[in-house]
Amino acid sequence: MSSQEGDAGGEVARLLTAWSSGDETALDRLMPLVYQELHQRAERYMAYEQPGHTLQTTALVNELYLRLVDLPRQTWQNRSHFLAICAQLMRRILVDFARSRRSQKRGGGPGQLPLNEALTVCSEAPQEIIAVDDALKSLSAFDPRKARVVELRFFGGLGVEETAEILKISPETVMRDWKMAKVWLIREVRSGGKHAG
Amino acid sequence: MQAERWRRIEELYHAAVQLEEGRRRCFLDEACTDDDALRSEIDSLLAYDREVSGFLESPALERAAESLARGRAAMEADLCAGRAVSHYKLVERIGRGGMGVVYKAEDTILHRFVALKFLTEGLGRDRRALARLRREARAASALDHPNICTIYEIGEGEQEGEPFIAMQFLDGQTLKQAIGNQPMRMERLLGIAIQIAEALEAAQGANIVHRDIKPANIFLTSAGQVKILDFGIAKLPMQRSARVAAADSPQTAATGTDSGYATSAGAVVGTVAYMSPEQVRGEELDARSDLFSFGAVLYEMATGVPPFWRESPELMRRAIQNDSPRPPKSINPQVPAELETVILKALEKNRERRYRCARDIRAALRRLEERRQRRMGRVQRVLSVVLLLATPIVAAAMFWWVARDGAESRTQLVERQITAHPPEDFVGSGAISPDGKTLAYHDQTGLYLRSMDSGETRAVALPPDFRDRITELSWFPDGGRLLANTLRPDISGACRLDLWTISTTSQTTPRLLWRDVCEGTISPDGQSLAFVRDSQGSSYELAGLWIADLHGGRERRLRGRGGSEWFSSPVWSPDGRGIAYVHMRTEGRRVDNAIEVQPLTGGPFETVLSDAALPKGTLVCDMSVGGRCLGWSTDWRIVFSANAGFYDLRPADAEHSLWEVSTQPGWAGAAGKPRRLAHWIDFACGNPTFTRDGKRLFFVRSKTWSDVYLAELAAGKTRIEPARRFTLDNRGSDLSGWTFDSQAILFSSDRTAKREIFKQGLSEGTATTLFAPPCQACEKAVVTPDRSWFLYREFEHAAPNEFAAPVRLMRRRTKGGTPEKVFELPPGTWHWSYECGVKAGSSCVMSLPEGTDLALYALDPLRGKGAKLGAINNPNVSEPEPWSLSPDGSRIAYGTNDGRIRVLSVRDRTWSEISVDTRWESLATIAWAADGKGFFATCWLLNSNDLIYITPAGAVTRLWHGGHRQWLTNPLPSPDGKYLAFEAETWDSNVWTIENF
Repeated sequence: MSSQEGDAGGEVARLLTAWSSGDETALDRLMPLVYQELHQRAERYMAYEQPGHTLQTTALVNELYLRLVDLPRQTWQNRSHFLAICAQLMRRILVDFARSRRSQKRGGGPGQLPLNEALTVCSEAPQEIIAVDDALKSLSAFDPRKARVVELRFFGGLGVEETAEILKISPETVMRDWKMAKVWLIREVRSGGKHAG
Repeated sequence: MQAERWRRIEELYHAAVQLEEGRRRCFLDEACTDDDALRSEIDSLLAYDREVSGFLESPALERAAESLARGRAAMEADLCAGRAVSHYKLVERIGRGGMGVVYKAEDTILHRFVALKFLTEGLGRDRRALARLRREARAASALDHPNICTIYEIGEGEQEGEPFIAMQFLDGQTLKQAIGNQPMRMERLLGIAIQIAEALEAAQGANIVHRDIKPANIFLTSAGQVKILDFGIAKLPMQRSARVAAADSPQTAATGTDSGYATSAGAVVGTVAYMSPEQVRGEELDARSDLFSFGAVLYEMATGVPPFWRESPELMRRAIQNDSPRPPKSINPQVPAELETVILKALEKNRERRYRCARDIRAALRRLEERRQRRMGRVQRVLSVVLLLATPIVAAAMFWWVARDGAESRTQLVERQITAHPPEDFVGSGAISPDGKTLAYHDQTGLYLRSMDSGETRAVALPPDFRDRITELSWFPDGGRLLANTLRPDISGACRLDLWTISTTSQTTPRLLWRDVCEGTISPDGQSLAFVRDSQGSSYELAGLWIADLHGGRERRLRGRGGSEWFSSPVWSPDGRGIAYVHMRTEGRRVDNAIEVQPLTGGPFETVLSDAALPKGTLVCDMSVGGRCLGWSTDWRIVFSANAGFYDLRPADAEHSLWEVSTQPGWAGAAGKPRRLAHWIDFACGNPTFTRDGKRLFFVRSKTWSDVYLAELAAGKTRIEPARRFTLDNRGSDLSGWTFDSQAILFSSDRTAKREIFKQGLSEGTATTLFAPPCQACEKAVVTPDRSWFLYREFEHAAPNEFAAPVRLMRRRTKGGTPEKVFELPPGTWHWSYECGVKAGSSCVMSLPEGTDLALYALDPLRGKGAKLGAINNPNVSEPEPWSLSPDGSRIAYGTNDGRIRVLSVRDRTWSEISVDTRWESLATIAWAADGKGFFATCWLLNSNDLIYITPAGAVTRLWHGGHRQWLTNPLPSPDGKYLAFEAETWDSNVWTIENF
């Protein structure tokens, strides 16, 4: 491993430990570092991904963890924190991405698109990501825990157990929250937000 | 929203959603009295009940990526055909990699075919990267060498940002496909390796570094020539991202270097596995870096696996920097020591210790080749002298001596049981991972991965309804994912399965890969899928054997099928260039099977082997337990199951066996005679899978039989206490009836090698024969209503099978005595039956096929067939007894295929009808409840066997769920109405292996 890479990894690990032990400012320095890597990976992932052949979000995040943080003396709490940060960042990345796609799509006129441009115009998924993000904001106003469950699972790609571990609640509670949040969100998304509040 | 109110909404929602829809209203009426707002809130949430299950189920990133990819694929397909770019006309897309899309195109000026590579988005817009690409490609295009794919031009289409590279169009396959995860023969290996070395030598002479030498970038033309692709341009996208990363953030400059390419699993793996340590570290590369990658390619050719193969790219990077490769000889003992030395020297971590230049490694490989040729020449000379001079016998012996080398190690086959599951938890299917380290299997509780080293077993998390529907498992060649053939929850049909991808490395929900097909299997390069599609209804338009490209989604039919022939068990050839399958033809009761190979490059299919090559009466492909019956090992042996007598004898007497036949690489037919590997009388096997080295064969060994199950009825027939297996023998037992006192069950069984009738008390564990002396081949004993006779049917004792023999209805006094014939029916009479009412004073009824109907007659134990009572039109012929006589003998009921029960009054010969709850429209067998009110029935509905109770009004309650593997039939309540007996299938099924195979 090169020295630079070791430093970047070491830095993330150090900040994670500092934040875990209560240093709130560590998070401000940590976020951009993780964002950088995650953003690149997510974008490339989407650019090269092929139908029916997808790598999983968790695999991507775990690979990132292995690369940036997996040094000796790391605790499982650190991994939980890291996954939680990734989920939050992934939400931001995907929403930004979806917004940019939407504007691109609107801006593009009819007629033949250049090959590469044409390949990037896409379907409903971005629309839904934006709608879910908006609805999540409403949900977190009166039930922040359920909003977190959705963030971790939908944006972070995390399983029930991991989500439970991060939020320090039982897996059963995660499932219950997940069910309730989903039905509330789907109504919100499908009805264009008229139920909010 | 107020917290209190929200909590209340949540509580009510969870409570309501668990209720059946009919009961929700009542519940909510009560719970929301006087609060209409609350009520409408809950109702509006419940309205999304159906939609919500799929909502947010796959993570956002995957959804976004997949939809992008689909958009891309659709666009590419659209834009492709006939489109003109510069002076080229696109013909078809031939590939897609991390770098971009490649099309076959026609040069409209020079009238030749070229390969056009369009660069991945992003790269096209990066001016500086483009300039660099031009520079490099120009340098590379100056390389004029027979083993380097020529670059004709670097051009740009009319639209901005559409740069392309025009290259020589080649016909053949990549080295990756040629290796196909198995060691190459030495002769072929050296021939290819020397050409690669020569190409590298030429490039180094011109000071050009390739940067991405890997099997996928080495092409073997059909003429046998090696061509290295993408010289000088292979790794450009990577460097771009390194620079972008550097500009964005100094901290991550180095981390970006190699990850630039590395996102989709395929691209990561394909690229990282062959990188040199200096490349992994992001250092400057030179000629010796290419030599390291070449060493890794040589290693893979010699062993079938890349030297630093690990589960994730990150682990691979670490291995490349820190781990010594396993000596190739320890994986493939055939590797000559000198070649091992060459490979390990090329793979030195420190470039100072590697070969200095391509020329040195080429010289070393040449020496090896010369030595091999000298050795072969000696053998050939000896052989030709012997053939000239000696008698044929000596020549044959000599030939044996020369040829026995490989054969000898195969003589000791060891069969070993891997899983040891009891019948209650039988194994459905199993498959060994390509590296031989992990066995994936599913049983009645879930899907599991077992480490073959430690025996440690871990469950793969799956949605509960999903795991019940898996029919067959296989591994993707990458060893990180499983392909599961699964029944659909919404459509029944043997070949209307869904194919799902299940990750074995992360706990994520399965992903749908393909719909409405069966017997799916992934190609050795992981890029394509082979499957069978059956007739949809009566239309054969799409039926047959298909392959599909997993990326573009394009499908191609290899063989179409008609009515009396079909295809099964497609398997890929080790090089991925052909599909072997079983071609089955039926004519009446005659079945002819053959193993055929269809080359994917076109041309006619070839027959590898037909039933004629096996001992008389033995059929290729044993369909008696289901599952795939073929496997093709990496060393070109096809393993297949066979059976003798399954279609003629009683299934329990059939002989099942497992065979192998060698095929020649390139499958020019069978290379030799089939050899029997294993042989069983009672067990059948299927689902053969191999380890990548071809040394171990795994398969599922199963046996299935019917048993009588017994349950106590409770809660007014709407519930049964857990049913228990009542007959504990494993030779099969068919339910006949009850004794009048409800204390014992009569059944017929093959357990004594004859077919006899047994009686077993409810609290007893063993049965006794009903008759003394016993009958020889008889079944279905019922007691007449006056309790003085047993009626049963008997088959001609000496006949080899029941279809060809006459069959008789017999009677014996219940107090004992000699058997007497009531009547005899001609051979081949099928679907005839009889029943007697259980109440004193009732009567017996028999059914006989007449044309397409099943005629119902009165039956007298002494006089035989009586007056005709009526007929069942178009009975459900899959079951021998689709009708039932009421306990008092006054009514006959049968279930139609469309959800009705028709009831015939014996006295006035009139029919009446009951409409059954429409969800249960296909009733297989039916029986009156003991009180004459309502029915018990079995039904096959949406891939599930169910035992149900039907009220006189047609309402249905499910009593027992048999799933898709446990066939249920013949429910029969005890005369006192306290118990319900029925037949169900019991399985004994486990994974076995053959070693030293």
